[in-house]
Order: sequence, then structure tokens, then C-alpha cells
Amino acid sequence: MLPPARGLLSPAFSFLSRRVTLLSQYLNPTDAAMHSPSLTTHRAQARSTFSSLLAGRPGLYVLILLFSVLGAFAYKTRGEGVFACPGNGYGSDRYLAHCEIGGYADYDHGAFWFGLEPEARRHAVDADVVFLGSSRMQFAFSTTATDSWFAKIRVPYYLLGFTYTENVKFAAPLLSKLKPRARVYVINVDRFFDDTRETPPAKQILRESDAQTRYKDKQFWQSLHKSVCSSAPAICGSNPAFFRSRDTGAWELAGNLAAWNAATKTTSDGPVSDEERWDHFAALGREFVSTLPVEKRCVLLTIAPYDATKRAEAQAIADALGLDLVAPQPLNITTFDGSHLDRASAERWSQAFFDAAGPRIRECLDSSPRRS
Amino acid sequence: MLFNSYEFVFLFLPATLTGFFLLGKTSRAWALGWLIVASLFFYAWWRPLNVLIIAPSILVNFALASVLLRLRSDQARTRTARLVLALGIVFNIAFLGYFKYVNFFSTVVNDVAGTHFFLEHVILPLGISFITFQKIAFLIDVHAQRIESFSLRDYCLFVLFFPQLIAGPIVHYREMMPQFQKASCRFDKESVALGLTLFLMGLFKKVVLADGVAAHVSPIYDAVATGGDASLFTAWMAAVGFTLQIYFDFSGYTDMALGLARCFGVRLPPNFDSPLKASSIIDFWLRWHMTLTRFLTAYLYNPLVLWLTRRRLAAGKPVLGGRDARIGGAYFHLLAGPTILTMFVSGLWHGAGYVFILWGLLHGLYLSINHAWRMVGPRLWPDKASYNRFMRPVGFVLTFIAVAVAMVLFRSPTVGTASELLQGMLGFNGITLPQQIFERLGPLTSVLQPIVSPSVTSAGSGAEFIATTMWIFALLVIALALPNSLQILSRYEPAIGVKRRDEELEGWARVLDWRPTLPWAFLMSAIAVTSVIKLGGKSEFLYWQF
Repeated sequence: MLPPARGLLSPAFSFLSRRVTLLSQYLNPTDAAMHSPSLTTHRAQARSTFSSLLAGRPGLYVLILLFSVLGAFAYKTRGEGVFACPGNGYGSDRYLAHCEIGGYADYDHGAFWFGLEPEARRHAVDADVVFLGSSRMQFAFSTTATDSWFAKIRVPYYLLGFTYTENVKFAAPLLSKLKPRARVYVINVDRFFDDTRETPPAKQILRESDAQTRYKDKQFWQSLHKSVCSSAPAICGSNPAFFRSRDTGAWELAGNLAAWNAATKTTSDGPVSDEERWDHFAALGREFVSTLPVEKRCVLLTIAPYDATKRAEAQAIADALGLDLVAPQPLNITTFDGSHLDRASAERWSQAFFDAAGPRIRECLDSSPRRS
Repeated sequence: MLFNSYEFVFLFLPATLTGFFLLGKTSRAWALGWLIVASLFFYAWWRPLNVLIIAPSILVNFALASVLLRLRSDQARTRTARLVLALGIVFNIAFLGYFKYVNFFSTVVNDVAGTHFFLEHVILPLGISFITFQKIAFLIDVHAQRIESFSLRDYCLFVLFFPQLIAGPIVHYREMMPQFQKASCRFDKESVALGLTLFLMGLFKKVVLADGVAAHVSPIYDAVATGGDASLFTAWMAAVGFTLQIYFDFSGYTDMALGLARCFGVRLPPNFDSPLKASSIIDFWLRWHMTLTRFLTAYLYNPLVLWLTRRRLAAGKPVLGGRDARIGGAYFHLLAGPTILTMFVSGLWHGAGYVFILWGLLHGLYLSINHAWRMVGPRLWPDKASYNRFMRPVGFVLTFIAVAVAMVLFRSPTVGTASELLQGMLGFNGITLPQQIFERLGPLTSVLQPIVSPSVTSAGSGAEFIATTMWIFALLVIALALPNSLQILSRYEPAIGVKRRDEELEGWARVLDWRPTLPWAFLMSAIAVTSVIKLGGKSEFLYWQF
């Protein structure tokens, strides 16, 4: 038997008591008949409850479905879509290049390939100095030092590197599509001349028929993300996100880096590996450099350091191509995740790079006329 | 815009429905106009240029149909009307031919003549095959006086109505327009409840079932296409798995189309009736892509057979159905020939490639054999009851195998890949089992040793092998044992002519008889939540580019 109803719980107890009585009468009618003269009424009530459950209620039905669909949608977009990333990196000239979540991830590749960010594309085409490479290059040169150096000589530059350790397989067709007017190219040689690996965005863009639609969808969601997360930042998550400057291509990192096991790590040279493939990389590099419409001496190779820098490989490729490898090694350079330079280190490293490569860049800019 | 995309489900559809119902309160004409604008927007989303391609074609067809409408009342100008009709058909076929077949044609020329012509790749406008068939059917119907009148708005609505614009069902003007003309254009709870249910069932079929099995089946085709071989089990998994994938993909799309149309108060014709339950290949084609079969039968097969029959009669030769016992010639001339030709067209319509042509021809052959058996079988086995008792299960198994074999052609990127898989299905590539499974078969291992060998590459790991098998088994149960979505909803006539009375419901259909009740709301909510969580994967509908 249920205990006597008391205090705050009394309505709940009395409700339960009624239900239990009703259920026992329903399940054991003989026994119930001995105790309850109103069995017929209770049975009728039970039947009516059951039949009301099975009664057609299209209005309520539609409401329940809509509620479920919208609830699932909210859960999905917040948990697995662009809304998992913060919107505090948008600026007048910045867009979301990459949101670290499976349902969104890369936007940058498609933005350039399909011309979804025409301003960014225009600046990349008009830049006098174009930097090519992966996210390591992007983090290494997205610094005040880079900006100040180019501001001082009043020359536009563009960091045209991409996520997923992008390489020549995407960069080469992109350059032939964009036809930049650059007079100097700086290439982060770190596995850039590797055609054995196709990154997922490159594969999608170059091989899948619906790629444009998917990137256009991302563009659409980005506009929604921008307006929602700007006005109500609490709605949006804090997954890591890169925002790209349309003017210079520099990245701004936003969000919580915990998702990347972001512990500071010092940089060092990694062990020599894959030596047998270096000739192939060099051959590919030679072919790529020959397609760049600039003098060979105006193509500079570099390698941004990380915890296993492939310096020997980079040097071997540079030697094979007859190009300069400008890879400064200032002391105490660290990464935030083992792979990408942290902000302070990037400042010092890029400054060291321009100290070393600056004269050659200036010389190239002075000697080669600006192409129209 | 894909039906299974966020943009469609959460923006386009709510906006279109809201606009339609709001405008419907003021004026039906405005509501229908809104539907045309929304459909154009839907079509343009994927590639705005598509609208510039499709719009002139609509206008040309409308003009030709208008001319036909005027000419047909004048007996003296029958010949001119025929010429206009022929012009319209040629225009539409040329239109489709250019966009869909010009690249394939250059490939064929290069293959045959050993030349190296290269044509700029022509991008196929979405749904062109479906739209073209509808436009041809419309012209023929106007010419045959099956359509009395039409306006540009009605014609645009008929061609562009977005639920069936991209991948069917292929509808007739005369089954759609009366509905639009009678549509209240107001919010109707029952229609929306039914429409949403059907849409969500379709979404579930597509994003959960079809895409789910595709993740296991596609790697097999990719592996074979890049030089791998497929042993017996792997090849059969590829064949049966893809058969189930395309079934749930296309029937899912069709459910979504029917559901969307119903939200606007319009019923579309049924397109699927559990085809995998078919007990013969003829039965299969009466259940699979029903509106395509209807179109090809009405506008190609029947006129062709009629014309050939007249010619044979005029020549004094026997025809089918006559008393003459010498009907072998008639069979080939009036049945097998037209059937194979029709299925050849069907194959070509499905895709511009050798594999699609072979797929069509194979089905033509199947149908011809099935027709021949229908003529001969009952004579050999006069006891109809025992014949049916025996032939129904045998027919079901044979039909399923035949369909799965043909699907290998449909899915394979090249004839070489298909050939490799078909050889695998016949056991020519050996019989292998993943090492992990082979080692766990206990006493069976030694029994199977002489014929089965362990493999580390067969359909990936043992876990992948088991997962694929389980997917196939689960989908087979759903496809073969459960009632289909239209049967579940048949109380409310979810598609044109699909309505059953209470006493006609039996077995599962009675248990799963849908009504907008709370239990159904919770069940459909679970289906909806699962589908929405799975949304956003990269998966076009297989019929999207046809």
C-alpha cells in the first residue's frame, strides 16, 4: 500500500494512489469488484483514455513532428554544424575559412576555387608576393611582422595556404585558374611537392560533381552563422576556427584549442625519412616552378618549423631545384599544438624570415615590372 | 537543392508552404503563382543557368501545344497537326540528346572509328530526362484530344512543380491539373500530417537506409573499378547491396516527392509498389518506377506494337492472340522485338553509357523470356493452382537474382568493372572469406577449406564483412516483410488511386495502419530525429542526374 499523502508530495501520492487502484481493478476485475462498486465507470474511463490515445489528432500530430524535427535540427547544427564554432573572428574583411567540426570543416578551398569570396580572390590575384603552402605556412606568416614588413615597402602580399597540409595537387590547378600577377613566390616546401596524397577538400572539389553546391551551402550557412553568432554569441560553440583576411589571406585563430590537445611544444628537426622519394618531390617541384611566370630566383623556398621539421628534405629539394631555402632558426620557437607556430613564435620567426629573405624579395620586386 | 539538405528542409520548404497558405487565403491564383516562383528558385539553386536552359524549352513546348490545340479541331488540317507533333517530339528529343548524349555519342564515335574527337563537356541540366518525357507526353495528349485547354500558368505549374521536377514521378497533365484547379490552397491539417509523414518516411529511407548500406557497398565497386577482384561473397554483396541501396534511395525520394506534393494538397501517382516482392520480371516492372513503365508502354511500346500488328495483318501473317499455332514469328516481331527496343530506350534514358544500354537490353531479354514463359508455361503445366504454388516462390527468387545481376551493370562505372563483378558472382574469382571469420568457423573451417580460402582483403576486415551482411539482411527484411509506405498510409489515399478500405487491410498492414494519432506521432518523431541527425552527409539521389 502507498503511504499516507503528506505535505508537498500529497498531490503526487493521491494521483499515484488513484492510478494504482485503477490499474489493479483493470488487471484483476474479480478482486476489484469486491472492493469497488464503480468498476464499470473505471473501465469506461480506461477505455476512453485508450481510445483518446488512438484518436486522430492531425493538428497535434503535426506539432509533435515539427517540434521533434526542429529540436533535432537545433541539436545537430549546434553540435555538429558551423554553430559549434564561435563567430568572434568575423571582421569587415574576414570570413570563416575553417570550422573544426565534421559537419562544416573546410570552406576556404571552395571559396577560392568556386569564387565564393571574390574579394579574397581579387587580392590573391593582385598581390605582388604570394605565399604558398599549408596551415603551417599560414600560422607562421599571419603576423604583425609580415604585415609591417610589407606595409613598409607598400607592396600587397597574399598568404595562399590551405588546411589539411594542402599541396601542389590543389595549388597547381588553383594557380592556373586564378592566374596571379605575383612577382615573387614564397613556397613552404614542407611536403608541398607531394602528389601521392590528395586532401579531402581537393578530392571533393576536383572530382565530385556536387562540390560547388556543397560549398555554396557552406557560404549560405556562414552568412547565417555570422549574423546569429554576432548578435547572440552564447548560442555558438567554441570549437577552433580560422578566419581569413580577404586583403592579405592572413589567418586569425578563434575558439578553444583544447580540442587539439593544444600543449606548447618546442620545435626541432625531425628524423630523415622517405629519402627515396625526394627525387620525385624535386622533379615535381621543378615542374611546378617552371609553370610560375616569374624568374626562378624570385621563387623562394622556406619551411616553417614544428616539432619534427623536415629540414633535410627541404634542403635537398631546394638544392635539386637550384633555389634558395630561407629557413631561419631563432631560439626558443614553440608551437601551440606540435605542428603550428604559436603567435609569439610566429612573430619572431617571420621577422627572422624577412630579415633573411627581405633583400631578395625587394630585389625581385624592383627588377621585375608589375604585370597587368 | 536536395530534398535531404538543411536548406531545403528548414528554409525552402517552410518558406514555400507558409507563402502558399498565406497567399491561398487571399487568392488561389496568387498561391499557384507563388508555387511556380518557388519551383523556379528551387531549380535555379543548384545552377542558375539551368533556368535559362529550361525556360526556352518550356516556351517552345507551350507554343507548339497551343498550335496543336487550334489545329486539332480542324479535320482538314490533321496532317499539319501531325507535323507539329512530330516537330515537338523531335525538338524535345534533340534537346535531351544534346545535353545528355552528345558526350556519349562522341565517345561511341571515337570507340568505333578509333578517332579522338573531343567535345567540351556538356553539363546536364537537372532532371532533364523526366521533364522531357513529361513535355512529350503533354504534346501527344494535346494532339490526341485528351487535354481540352490549358494556360501558360497551368503548363508551367505542370512542368515545374518542384516535388516532382527533378526525379519524377512522371506525371500526366490530366491527372495533375484538375487537382490544382480544385486545390483550396489553404492549410489542411490532415494533408500536412500525411504529407509530412510520407516525407519523413522517405527521408529516413534515403539518409539512414540507402546511405547506410551505400557506405559498405560503394567501396566494393570502387575497389573493383581500380583493379581489385571480387570473390563470390563480395560480388554478391555488391549486387544485392546496391539493389537495396537504389531501391531505398529512389523509393525514398519518391515518398518525399509524394509527401511534399500532398502538403500542398496534391496527390502524385504511385511510383513504387514493393518491387522486390515481385514474382516475375513483368511484375517487377509493374512495381518499379511505375510512371516510367506507364510512359514507355503508352507512348512507345503500345503504338509500336499496334503499328507492327497492323502491318502483319495487312501482310496476312499471324499475330499474337490469334488461333494460328505458328506464332513464333509473331512473338519475335510483335513482342520480343518491341520489348527489347523499349527497354533499350529505357536503358539509354537512364544514362548515357554502355552499361546503361546493356542494363536496358538485359531487362528487355528478361521480359521477353518472361512473356514467352507465360505463353508456354501454362500449356506445359495445366494445373493452375499447383503451377502458382510452385512458380510464385521460384519466380520470386529468380526475379530477385535477375534484378540484382542487372543492377551490377547499372552501378558499375565501366563494362569491365561489371564484367569483373559478374565473374565474381559466378565464382570465377574464387570463394574467399575474411581471415577473421574463416578462423572462427570452428569445425566448418576444415569442411570449407577445399573450396573457401581466407582473405584479408575480401570486403575489408571481418567486421566490415559482418556489418555489410547485417545491413543487407536488415534491409531485405524491411523491403520484403514489411508493408510499404503507401500501404501503411493507404487509409488516406497517399497517391492517386492508392486507397484501401479497413476490410482490405491484412497482416502487418493492419498493425501498421497509419492515422495521425499520438503513438504514430512518437514513432514518426523518432524516425524524424534519426533522419535529421543523419542529414548533411554527402549524398545525392541516384536518380538526380537522370
